[in-house]
Amino acid sequence: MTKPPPFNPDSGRGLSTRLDRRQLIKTAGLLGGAGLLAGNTAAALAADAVMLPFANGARPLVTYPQKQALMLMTSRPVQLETPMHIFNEGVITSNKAFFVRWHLADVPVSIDPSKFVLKLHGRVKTPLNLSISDLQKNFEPVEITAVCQCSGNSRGFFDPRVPGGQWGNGAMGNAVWKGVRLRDLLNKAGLEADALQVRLNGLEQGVVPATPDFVKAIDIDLARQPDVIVAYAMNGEALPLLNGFPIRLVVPGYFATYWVKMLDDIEVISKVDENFWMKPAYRIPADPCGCMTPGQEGVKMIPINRMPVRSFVTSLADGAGVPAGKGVTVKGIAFDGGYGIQRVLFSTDGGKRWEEARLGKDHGRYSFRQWEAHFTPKKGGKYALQCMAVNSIGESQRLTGPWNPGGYLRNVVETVHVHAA
Amino acid sequence: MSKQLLCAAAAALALLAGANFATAADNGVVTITLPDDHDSYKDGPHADAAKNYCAICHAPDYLYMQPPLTAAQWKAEVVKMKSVFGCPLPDDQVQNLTDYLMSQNGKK
Repeated sequence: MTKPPPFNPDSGRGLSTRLDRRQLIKTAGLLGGAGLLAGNTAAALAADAVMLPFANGARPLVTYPQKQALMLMTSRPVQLETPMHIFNEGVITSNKAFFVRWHLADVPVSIDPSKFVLKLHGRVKTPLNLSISDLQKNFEPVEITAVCQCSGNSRGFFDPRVPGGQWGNGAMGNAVWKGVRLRDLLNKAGLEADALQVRLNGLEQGVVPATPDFVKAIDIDLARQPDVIVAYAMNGEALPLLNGFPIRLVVPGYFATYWVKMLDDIEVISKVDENFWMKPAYRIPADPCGCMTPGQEGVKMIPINRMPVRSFVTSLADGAGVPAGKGVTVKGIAFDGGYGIQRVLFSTDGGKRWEEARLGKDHGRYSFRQWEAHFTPKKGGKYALQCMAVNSIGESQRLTGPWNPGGYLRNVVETVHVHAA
Repeated sequence: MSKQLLCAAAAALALLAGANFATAADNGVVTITLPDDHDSYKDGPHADAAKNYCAICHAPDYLYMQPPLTAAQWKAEVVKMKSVFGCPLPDDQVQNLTDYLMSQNGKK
């Protein structure tokens, strides 16, 4: 296996300032790239693989630092998907099983939280430099259980296919996030009257200086919602480094693109941010469906925002066998963009007849909601299991998948085919 | 075994642990070691263009996990990498790289 020629950071590309910013990181990075680990590639450690049901869908199961075996989509930048059966193990996704998604390859592999500083500046009266200790000691801690779902989750199922990260359905997870309200930080700094948006920047950046830094922006009204937090803990522990240690933004109900990892810079701005990662990237058609037809022109596009309602069967995989004549309990999860799950309907005949599923414990309106339903295949043969969630404002999943060129917002009613014998 | 040798052995073991290597020291510093790129750019016409330029920023799995794309789609990706992401790909390599990508994962 040949290794690509290493990119030489000293070859006059003007990287010195960027690298000085994180000398610890550079040292650790060199350790990993020095050839000492030759042969110890992810491939060598792959015990098994998952085959996603679309072209080029083979995903080796690999074990990354602070992680259990996950599906490898890309190795640099790292993108790891959670296998679907994990979501049957509990309503909370463990830190070790949580999916990983980075956009750009220059991400620190070593972080000293005692030296980490979060800057808050821009259109504020008093700029702040906050240490992790400041956040933990000087602001009220809050906890919230919320689903973090990649904007491109399920992109691999789009028809026609679209370029981008070819996720199955596992670029999502549900965790208990603990941190401080972004609102409290903004209040401490004091907003100027013309504050319009908040720009969020983390330590993730491109390898070449010309690559647009990964920066996201949210409207000031959203930034001041009490549920939006700067999180320093995930499921009662520090965040795994690959999930944004030491702090990341948590925007419950919104797609993960806004949940900036290794967050070290918050800038209050008085104009709408239109950097590459806000425009044209991460945009959806402005209509309520978020859909269009392939090749359609002149479609108004807006930044992706709240997650549509979704649900999955988690206790049975597509193609599974079940005993004929015996009852089984089918389990699954549902979630939406923060209105809360009100009902989940379940069908065993491909959507001709629906029955009400029983909902599990309510962990809050941003959390996965577990559900279960009884299924007795009276005779042998094929059954098409479907689930359809409805949220508290009456929004349900779609019977046909929305299509858009970014591969976003998939929330079609999924089907699990099982065979009774 | 001398103390130095023991230390060296411990370090070697830590490196062998490799992909799953993470430390959280008493002072809170968290350090991980990431595995090398998972795969490599396969041989083909103009593979050097991918090895010399695509590899600067990302691993080959960015190519092989995509659905098969048309020549127009691959060219659009190449142009985006050059014009938006700042890939220092020379103009005269745009078509060569597109041809290579088509040879690896093209939709005919």
